[in-house]
Amino acid sequence: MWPFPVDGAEPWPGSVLVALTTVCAVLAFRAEQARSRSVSTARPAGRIGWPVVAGLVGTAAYGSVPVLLFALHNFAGGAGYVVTVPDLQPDGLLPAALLMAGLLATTLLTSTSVPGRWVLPAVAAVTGELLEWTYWLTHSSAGYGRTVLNILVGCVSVPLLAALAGAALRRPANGRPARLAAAGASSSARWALLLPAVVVMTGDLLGLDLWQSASPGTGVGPAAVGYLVGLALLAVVVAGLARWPRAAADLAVLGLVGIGVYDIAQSGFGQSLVVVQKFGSPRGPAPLLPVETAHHASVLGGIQGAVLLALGIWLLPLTVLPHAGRLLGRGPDLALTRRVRELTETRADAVSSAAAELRRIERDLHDGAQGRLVTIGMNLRVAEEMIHSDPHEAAALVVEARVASAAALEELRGLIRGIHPPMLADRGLGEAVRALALDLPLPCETEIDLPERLAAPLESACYFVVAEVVTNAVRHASAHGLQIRMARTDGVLRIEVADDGVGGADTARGTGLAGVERRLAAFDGILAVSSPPGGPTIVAVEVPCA
Amino acid sequence: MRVVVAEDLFLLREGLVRLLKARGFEIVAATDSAPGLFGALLEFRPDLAIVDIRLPPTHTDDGLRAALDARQRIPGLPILLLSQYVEQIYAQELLADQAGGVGYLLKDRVFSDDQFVDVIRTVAAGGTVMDPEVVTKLLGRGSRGGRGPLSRLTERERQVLELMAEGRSNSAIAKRLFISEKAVSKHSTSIFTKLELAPSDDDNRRVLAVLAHLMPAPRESRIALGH
Repeated sequence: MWPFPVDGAEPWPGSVLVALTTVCAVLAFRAEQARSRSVSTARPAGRIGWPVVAGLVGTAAYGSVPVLLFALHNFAGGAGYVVTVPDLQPDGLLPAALLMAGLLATTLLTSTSVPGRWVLPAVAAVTGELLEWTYWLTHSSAGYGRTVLNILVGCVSVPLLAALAGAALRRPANGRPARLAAAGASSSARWALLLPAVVVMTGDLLGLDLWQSASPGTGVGPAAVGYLVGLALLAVVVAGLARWPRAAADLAVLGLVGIGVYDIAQSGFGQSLVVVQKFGSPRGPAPLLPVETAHHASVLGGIQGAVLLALGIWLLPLTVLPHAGRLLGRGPDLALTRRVRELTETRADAVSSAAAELRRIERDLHDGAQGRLVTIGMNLRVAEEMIHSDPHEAAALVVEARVASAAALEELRGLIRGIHPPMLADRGLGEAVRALALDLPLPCETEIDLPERLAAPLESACYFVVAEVVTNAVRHASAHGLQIRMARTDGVLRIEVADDGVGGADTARGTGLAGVERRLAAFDGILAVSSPPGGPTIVAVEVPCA
Repeated sequence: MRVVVAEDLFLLREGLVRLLKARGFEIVAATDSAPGLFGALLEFRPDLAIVDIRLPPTHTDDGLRAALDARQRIPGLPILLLSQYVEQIYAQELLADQAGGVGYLLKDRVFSDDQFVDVIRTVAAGGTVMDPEVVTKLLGRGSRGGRGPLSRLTERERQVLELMAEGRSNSAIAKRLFISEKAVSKHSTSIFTKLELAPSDDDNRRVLAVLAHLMPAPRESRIALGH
């Protein structure tokens, strides 16, 4: 039995499918292992693994149906060979390859760049086309037997396919299997990659087999035009799904469900034809299909339909249903939900950091100025008593009180600077940062373009962000010079602090930059740090300030 | 000597007025806001204005701006800024016209009234006085960077320069450092040579030149010292 050669039938298209399935499965498994190494709790075939395996089995079954049917019935009916169930022809190879590639790409390449994701579908489409062409080229003659050319094509195609698929999966991640995105990173959009396969399958159902070479008897001109139109259509589909990935995903999944239902219905219809032919019917036309062929065709078509329907139904809750729920006013808006979560987190951060700041101020006042004022009061009280009895001692106490009051003032000044620098209140962010730069022990260039004042809380947050970053540079970077740039364009405040120090700054290590990130988050600001070992360090900040 | 005082804290204003009157100064106006200060300066053209930087109406740098505006109308009008904090940017704006007759002190310095009265007389006479904190910041930056002309100064020369920038005369510096006046002038010549400034006998010009040399030009972003 298949995939082993049956009498007179050639096995190579089936072998290609088996090889493709095996290669993809191995790569999927490797990627799965790479993922489980980084996340120790994930099982080898965890959340992503099983859908991949199911999809691979399904598409392999889908693709092998026509091959198997062909192998079984190639010589059965002679001129009477007519397959009435659509989709059960050798060109099932193309949608099969596309489906498989799409499934793999969506599940394995979620974290790679956009061009990287298209490599695998493109390889699959090209290979599918190649198979089609060679198949028809080698079968255009009368003899359908095994030829040297057939075997040769099979031998070349299989390793080529394997190599290309492997390269496609490896390339995006520098020699390692493609990195997997975090669990939360998957979105419905990636299932849009199934759309090309759905389009090709729908074309088959409608009898528009544009992606295979024309059947014998068609003129060269119409055949070429049809083929080119098919390729252009496929390109339009790919462009469309890159532009509207969510809508394309919904369409693809709905298409899978539709084709699955149609195939199952066709299967039932084919079975009824078989019954009609076997037992005869006084009314309907006599079917041309040999009984055995029709029986196989309908059963295999049913299996194919069931696989597609199952895939579609499995994907429904991931794509169409949430969108539909939102359209009907039910179910949460994902973007809104995410925003609420962000705001809850940043608000909690802001509240707790404000509370910590108050505690610090309380402690500083208590230990510093308050204590000194008590001392001053005591000194003056004693001096008051001694002013007549011992004027010299009293004068000394008053001097002491004056010194203590100067110290208290000094401390209060420092405290006020830490709460809200006077320059910030007087002149705003730009001048305050210039003043900060002037007070640094290092040469510091400033380039500030802030014609208008910003909202006070934002000014304060940005000032302390710059102060923290600059302090880091002075303390840890052994820098010789600093550069601060600040400009407001299109409602976004951009700040860049660069130093020529030793580098190695990291938001993950130490609390300084992480604190800066938290401070910025309350204003929807973001922080980027470039600090290779050996420097230079560049810290960039962007905060919306419309 | 006729003095205008602008300070919004009642107790401090009254204290200043009392202190100055006790020392024989004539207070021609004591105001609590920037517009009041501007009007009084133009009306009385005093020998000195003592101005708090932060004044109503906006409680930011209104005092400084009103004083600088008046100084544009009356060139050389002596101004002594008082503040709870010192900022190099304000010092630099005050020194921008290079005309002298300016001072910038922390309010704390009012406590030591002898020194305060010295400062008042120096500024009124067209001298320049900067708070030690401003001077420390200026000198600190120059030396810690390890580059620039300041790093060429000896420890003693730095001390002399610091006192010079605070507006002290050669004799005061000599007394403070327990050295002869001749030694002070020797040090100051050496400082001027090292900073590549033209020597001058005029104390005030000298201080101004030093400060201007140390300060970055106003509104210019480069603050790297030296080359």
